[in-house]
Amino acid sequence: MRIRLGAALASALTFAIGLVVILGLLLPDETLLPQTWVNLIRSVTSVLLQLTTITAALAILVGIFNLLLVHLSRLFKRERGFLYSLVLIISFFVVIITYFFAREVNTLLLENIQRTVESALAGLLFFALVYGAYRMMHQRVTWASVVFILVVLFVLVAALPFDIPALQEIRAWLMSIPVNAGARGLLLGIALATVVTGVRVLIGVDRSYRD
Amino acid sequence: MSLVNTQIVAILVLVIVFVAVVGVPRLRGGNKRPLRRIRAYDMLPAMVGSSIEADRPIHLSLGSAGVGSETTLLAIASAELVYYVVQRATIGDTPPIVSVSNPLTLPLAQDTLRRAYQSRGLSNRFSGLSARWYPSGSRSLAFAAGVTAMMGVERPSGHVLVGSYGAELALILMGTSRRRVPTIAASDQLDGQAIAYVMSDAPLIGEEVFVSNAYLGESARTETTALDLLRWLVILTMLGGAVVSIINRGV
Repeated sequence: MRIRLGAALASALTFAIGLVVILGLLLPDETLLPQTWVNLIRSVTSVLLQLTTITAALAILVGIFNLLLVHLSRLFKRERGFLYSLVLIISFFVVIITYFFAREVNTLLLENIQRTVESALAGLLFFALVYGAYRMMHQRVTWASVVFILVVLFVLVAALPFDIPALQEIRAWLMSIPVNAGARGLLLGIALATVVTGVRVLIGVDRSYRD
Repeated sequence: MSLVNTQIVAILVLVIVFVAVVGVPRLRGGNKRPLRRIRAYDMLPAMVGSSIEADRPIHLSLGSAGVGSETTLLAIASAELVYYVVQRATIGDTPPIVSVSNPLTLPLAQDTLRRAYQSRGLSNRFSGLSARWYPSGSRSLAFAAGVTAMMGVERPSGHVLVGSYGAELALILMGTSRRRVPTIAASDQLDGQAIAYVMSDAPLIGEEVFVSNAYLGESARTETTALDLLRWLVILTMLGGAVVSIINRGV
């Protein structure tokens, strides 16, 4: 079996750093290890976590650079939708310039345009969800979809301000037992799969280290 | 005291998972076990095929799954799925589009694309601009708006939206539905998952996103075997806890 040096190094580095960080986070205050070792592991973990935070802060620049390159490329090649790209690039520079030279205009743009548009989109969400329910029944009528729609309708009706205790009791039971159980099942499944993926990454069997 | 217990439990879980991932599948011939059918994974080859035939890109998105946050491993698992889809789509003329809203995931997306092209010997066709960052803004609505605008311009032939999404997924899926484009969706957030179930053509539910390696890869069903084992362990622990609790009440 051929082992590439780069892949082996990447795996070794990941394993070593992962192990140190896990130890640093999981080591209790009182252990059999000498206190100087524990302190050393904790300070290395702290430095590694700080590095992650710094990298995360710098990554926003990578994102902005990517966004600009995608839209500049579309603009110069006169590809479909290049006018939208032009609007994006102009908006980008207007926001940067106003931030430095006219801070009030910048705040105004953010408050009056960005937030308003986002609020309008949030309002649209309700219609999107109703449309989704309609589409589900239109496309595939299965037992699961019928139960899903019935439960949604029941929960919505029971949330209305009618004084019908039985309705509200059933709603409370639905939310606390079947809905809660389903949600916990989903989250448990995701958590188990996350731990398995984590161990795969940690021991270097993930594909990204082999290619 | 409770903190120490949590740490011990965490270490114990890690050791069990380590043994499950490394040892048990080999001992029990885990790689030969049949897999249950998942509609989304069945649909993927046809989606890639129609993308190549129509000469339109296939759009893959990781949502707000981000390296360096609690969704790091979801981002890695979603990137693995992206890898297999892109690998199949490389023979087409139009490159796939990968969108992310967390800037730290952008290098992961670009590296996944690069590896997929490299695995087919087509490194010269790889372009870093196929991986795109759309800012998330508050509630990720700006990301949804950006992706919806991209749909109008690039007209993708299919969408694979696997990652972390909230309610904003409804806006994206309404766009794909209006354009009658097949869509696979999954989210680690409960509201996003519910929307994916209702509005996508084939949802991936819960841990199904994490097993793309077993369904689309050429080997390695270790995750599914390890997951099954862990699932049974959790079930038995819960049942054991319930029995002990009932006995204690009886006493």
